[in-house]
Amino acid sequence: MKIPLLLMLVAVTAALSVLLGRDVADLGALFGQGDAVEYWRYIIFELRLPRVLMAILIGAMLASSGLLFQSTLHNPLASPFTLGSSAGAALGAYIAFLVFGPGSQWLFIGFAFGLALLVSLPIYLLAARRRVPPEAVLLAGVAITFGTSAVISGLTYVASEKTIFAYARWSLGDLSVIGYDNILILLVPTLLPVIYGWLARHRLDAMAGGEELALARGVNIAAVRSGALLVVTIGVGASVALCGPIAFIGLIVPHVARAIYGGGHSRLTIAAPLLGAILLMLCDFAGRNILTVDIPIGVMTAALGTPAFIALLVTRLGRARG
Amino acid sequence: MGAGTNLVIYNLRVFGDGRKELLCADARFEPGQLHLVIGPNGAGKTSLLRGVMGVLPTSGEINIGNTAIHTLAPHRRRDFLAYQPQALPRVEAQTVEDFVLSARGARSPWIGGLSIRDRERAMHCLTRARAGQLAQRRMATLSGGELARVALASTLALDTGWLILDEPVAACDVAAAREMYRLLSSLAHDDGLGVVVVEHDLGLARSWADTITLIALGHVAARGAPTDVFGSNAVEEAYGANLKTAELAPNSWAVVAVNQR
Repeated sequence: MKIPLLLMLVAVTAALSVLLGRDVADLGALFGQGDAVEYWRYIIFELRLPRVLMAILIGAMLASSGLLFQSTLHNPLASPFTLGSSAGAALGAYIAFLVFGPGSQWLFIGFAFGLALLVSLPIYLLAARRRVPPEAVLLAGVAITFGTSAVISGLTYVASEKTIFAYARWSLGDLSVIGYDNILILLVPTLLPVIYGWLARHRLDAMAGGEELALARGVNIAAVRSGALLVVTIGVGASVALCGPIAFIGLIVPHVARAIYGGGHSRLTIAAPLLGAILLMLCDFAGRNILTVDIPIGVMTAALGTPAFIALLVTRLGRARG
Repeated sequence: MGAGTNLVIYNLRVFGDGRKELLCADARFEPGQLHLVIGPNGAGKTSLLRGVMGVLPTSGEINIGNTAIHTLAPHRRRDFLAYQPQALPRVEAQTVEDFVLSARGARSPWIGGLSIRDRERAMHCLTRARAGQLAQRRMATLSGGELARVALASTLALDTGWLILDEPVAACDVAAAREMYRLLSSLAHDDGLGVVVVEHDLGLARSWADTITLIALGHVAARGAPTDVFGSNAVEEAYGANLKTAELAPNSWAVVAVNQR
């Protein structure tokens, strides 16, 4: 599949997500007059479009983040969720709920974002040392993820029912934002990992061949690795703060992209974010329309992601053997 | 860049896991020559190369002319020494041209990437490695001999005065191996590059080397002209075997371990 085709697929998916829903938009009404027009303008421009834009930004960011981690750490299981960035943001969110209660948006974003950075700091320092092998960085991330969930469990023990409920709702992930302010806030942090991936594409190619080759080709491994960790932490921190954790996209999409486009990062760094955007829009669309109530986006990505990942593993293993 | 200057290794110690010393070596390589490094399995040949490239920690000195290579971060040594590991990982679907180009990509500017000039250099190196006609082939379709020439082209594409190659003919048949050494010899003698090659096949080493460095038990056991090194019993001692050396045709040597029953 050529990249322009993928770009068109993003546009088509976005258009359909905006126009279709429990109520199918009447295009004629949009250009007419009267109450129906007002109604549809509100549904499309205030409710559905911001949501679809959010899905595009976050889907692209998660896919690029997963690709960056998998390529720089040389491990197919690396994702924003195995490296603690996401867990740190969750802890920050919990503390904000606990201390300020739900509703104080800016404090909430600040805490989630700040703790994402803070919790990732030891991993960042580890990744910035060249002689630390990639497995060590990955395992440190897993350990930190476990550590933060332990702290969250401990806080749950002392938290009020209201806080626990608010946190539980948030942790399911939610793309329903009203208006465009949040999209503006997210624009730069989510595009950072996407742009970084593209700029680092040649270095990622060399790093995919292992440490020895990367050094032989002159790649400053520690710099590329810690740079990736920094932009991903910023992107994931901001998105988790606003929309809650959304799992699986970062893990699966790079594998799908590699299955279609092979291992070259010149194409992967463009294809992965586009595929991520499409997949998250589809998950969101399914979540809005399968049942009469909305299914949270985190539940949808996990529900669709798990079988998709297993299917991918089975077919790739089959091909590797055949 | 480094052409015309010696590669001098002084009191170099290479360490593995847990600061275990793998190798202690002195050596002096001159440009415009083909230098072969031989020695039994596990003696420290690859450790020497990995130490020089900074993949493994070292103490001691590595100098090219006035440049103290050992003080440079590993990724900066690439400006002076082009290193080719034993097995080059490859993207099966990639074209040969893109593969060679990717060698230059790792040091291309972050913004701007690869230029027309990079593409020209890549094609030039492919032609120099007698692999120009392979440019549009997919990596997955190459034979062992073709892959070896493409790998050499990607190493040449780094544009350095020194080539450091770890067993470049490991996957070659006898004819392809001869072709490769003819090429390496020409790169040293005609282009003036310094070429250091780790080689398993003692016959090839005896036939093609300008100098031989014999490594045994983590030390340099002998170095000098092939006639001198093979003339002594240092090689037999290093391998712990009775060796028979014969010049079957002019400059074509075979070295075999003699059966003892």
